Amino acid sequence: MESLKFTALGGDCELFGIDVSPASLVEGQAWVSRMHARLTRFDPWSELSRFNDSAFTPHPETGRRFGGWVAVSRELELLLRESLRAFGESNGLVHVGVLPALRAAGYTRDFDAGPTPPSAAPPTLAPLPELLEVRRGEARLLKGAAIDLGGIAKGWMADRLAEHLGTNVLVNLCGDLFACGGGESGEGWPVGFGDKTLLLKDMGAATSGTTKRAWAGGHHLIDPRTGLPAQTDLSEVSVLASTAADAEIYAKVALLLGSRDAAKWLETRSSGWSLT
Amino acid sequence: MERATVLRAGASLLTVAAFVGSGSYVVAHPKNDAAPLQPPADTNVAIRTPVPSASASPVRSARATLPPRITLAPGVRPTELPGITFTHVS
Repeated sequence: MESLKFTALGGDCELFGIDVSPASLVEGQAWVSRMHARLTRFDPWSELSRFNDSAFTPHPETGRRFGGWVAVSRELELLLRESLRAFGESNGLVHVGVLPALRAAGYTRDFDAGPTPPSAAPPTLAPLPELLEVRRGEARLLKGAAIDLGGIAKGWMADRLAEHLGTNVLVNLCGDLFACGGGESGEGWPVGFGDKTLLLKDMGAATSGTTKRAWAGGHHLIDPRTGLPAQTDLSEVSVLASTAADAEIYAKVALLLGSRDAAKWLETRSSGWSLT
Repeated sequence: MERATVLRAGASLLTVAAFVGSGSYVVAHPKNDAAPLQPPADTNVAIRTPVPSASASPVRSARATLPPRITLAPGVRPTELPGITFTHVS
């Protein structure tokens, strides 16, 4: 078995593969790093930052409410479409347009640099399809809107990279993972999940929580219904799903719903979950 | 004597002196395995032996005090094997 560990996307990433060359894993790492550079909101020159900036430059052809149509890379286009899917799948609870609310809560810069004082009132948040429009090779944002793909990109990328690397691989990007094939034993890849280890085969897993990227009076998980850091009795939710992208969506929804409604919401969608 | 010859002789002398000097320094400072740690280690600190763990590497993040409530569909198999990785909050 070949493996590779590295840091990207703000955390630890791991790639494992059977019958996969070390060079393929290094290529996978390079792709993750390129995507990180493209999607980070902390670099004003990243593709995502430039797209967010476009919301402040209205174009006569697009009307005054929207910024101009901006050419986007294939990857960003797919991620924006995935964001719209996640919004629909989650009944609006997974909302990449929370960036203004995240900034208002104090998460304005790289987490290691510390939070900034929160603003007095959270911005109101319209449904994502009213903020973001995507067409082939282009996208545009409602004036003043801004998006953060942090909650969506890792799961989506884990699925894509696993598919690219081979038929017996495991990709873990900062906790969002996809296990493809049966691992060394053929029965599944042994993966820590809650306080157990599970054998995962052709399955995704993700965890959402309020315990990391938290500061006095706030944390990074914004509830789109209020525009504020979520108030929930759950601190951490891990979920299994058919893809890492879906696992990420389900974990976030369950966390926002809280312990009373999370299990009911998950039972028709997920093959396993851990609530803390 | 020509100036160039003097310069060559001087350079050679310097090289030989550096070689002999560094060799002498090494001979005069042999490694001492029994030498005390500098600064002296705190004698009140107990030496901790790493305990083998069945958990995955890298180390799992600190969790809330309550144990997680896990629900698994019949097709999902737990194992006693150590995980090679784990899902976690990022």
